[in-house]
Amino acid sequence: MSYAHWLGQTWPHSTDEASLYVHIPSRHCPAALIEWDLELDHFVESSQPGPNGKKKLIAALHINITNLGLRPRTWHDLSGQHIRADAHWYEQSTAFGPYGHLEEERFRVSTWFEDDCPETAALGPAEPERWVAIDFEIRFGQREGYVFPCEIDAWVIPEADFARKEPETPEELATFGQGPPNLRLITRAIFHSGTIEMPRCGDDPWPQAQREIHAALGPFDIARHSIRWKVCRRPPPNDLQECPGGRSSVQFWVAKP
Amino acid sequence: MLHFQDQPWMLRHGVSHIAARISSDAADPRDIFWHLDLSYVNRAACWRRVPWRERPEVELSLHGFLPPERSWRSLEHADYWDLTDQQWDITRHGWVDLTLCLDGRRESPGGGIGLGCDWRVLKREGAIFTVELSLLPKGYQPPPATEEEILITADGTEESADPDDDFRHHPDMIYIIEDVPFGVVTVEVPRNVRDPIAFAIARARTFINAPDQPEQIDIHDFAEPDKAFGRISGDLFVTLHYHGFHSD
Repeated sequence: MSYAHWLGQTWPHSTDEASLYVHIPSRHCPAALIEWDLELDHFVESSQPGPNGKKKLIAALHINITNLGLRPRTWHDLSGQHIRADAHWYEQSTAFGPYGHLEEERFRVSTWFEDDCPETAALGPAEPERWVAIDFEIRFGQREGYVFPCEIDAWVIPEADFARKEPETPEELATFGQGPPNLRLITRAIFHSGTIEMPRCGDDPWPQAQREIHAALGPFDIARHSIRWKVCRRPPPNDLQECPGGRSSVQFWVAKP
Repeated sequence: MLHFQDQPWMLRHGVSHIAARISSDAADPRDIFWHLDLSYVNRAACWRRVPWRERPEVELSLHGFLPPERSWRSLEHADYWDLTDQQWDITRHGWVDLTLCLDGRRESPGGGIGLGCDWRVLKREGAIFTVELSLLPKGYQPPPATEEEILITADGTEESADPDDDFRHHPDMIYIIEDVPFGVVTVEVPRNVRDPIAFAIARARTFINAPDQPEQIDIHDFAEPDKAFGRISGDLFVTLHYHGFHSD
């Protein structure tokens, strides 16, 4: 179940659930940091069925939080975690990813509303579609299987207002979440899937990947996996080609009970 | 970890590594051009809304050093710390190019002339070298040695002052201790070689005792396509990645 309060409007609750993704860098990574991301799509259906008897989607709220800055010893330890994204949290949790990439907008929100639908008027403004939260809080509750109850409070601003040229002043940094949050979510977050970066380790990296996944996250059941070989550069005409047997990125999906 | 101007800095993975370049006319391990590249971006919270490419940045490249022996592994014995000016040999110990972008403009202290530094490798684990490096700020003179100074702390206890404290705590002092991967080897390969990859691996093995199986191999051809036909001039650049983490 997902309950959403967006820009002063309470949205109809939905059966949607958030997904937790984990990214495990190669064990060769200096100061390897495991990253947890959270993603939620909260959909709203029309109150009346359409001509075909089915209710159609009229609005959606998409939440994407990258690198929660959590360092649990195992995935079980996500229980009870509390994130307060203040200046101290940003300083401690900001780091370049394995390939030199830095995510500046950690909490992104996008909205979608069906055109010419009177029901969506009560759900909030159609524009802008993209928002960013700088200050936010996330609380994970007690684990039930692969599910963590999750509560999110965020203070969002339009994405266009996020980036600036000048650093924030100490006064700006000292403030946190002025006024009530304009995004509130209560949902269930499911440990869904993840990726692990593998060094060259033969034609089938999966046995080694499996060992490293469990060493990094603790025990859990994996339903399936897929291997994506890294691409290598070659002279034209074969500019980029997959190189089986070389480095790989292995994606895995957690088994549903 | 970089200590500089009392600011928090974060390492840029991927571009920070130890690398070697083997030119097509290299005939001896001393002809190999080694470099250690480190790139840092300010991580202070006040910059969180500024695109990272516009934040204060420190780029440091240590060029032209040589491992004590032929093998890349022998870099773990590199210790060029506290050498006197007479002992410092730029062709063995290297020189530093430093680029600072602190006030929105890039500048190279030393006016583009390579700077000397103290550096050494503390340990190696696999392909990761723990490197320690310190660089004197331009024009800074360490204080002359004096008699031991006694400091009295807030609770009244007495402590000996470290005579090097002033030197270490100078805000412009660059001090780095970092785990740096080896890395990348770029081999210039003549265009008409039958197997550029085999050629590059053989050259890397010969000159730096690099392993036979790189993690990844890329071939770069910078010749313009319309001019490449029928030409044998202009080398191919074969990049051998010996580390499973980085993709440059």
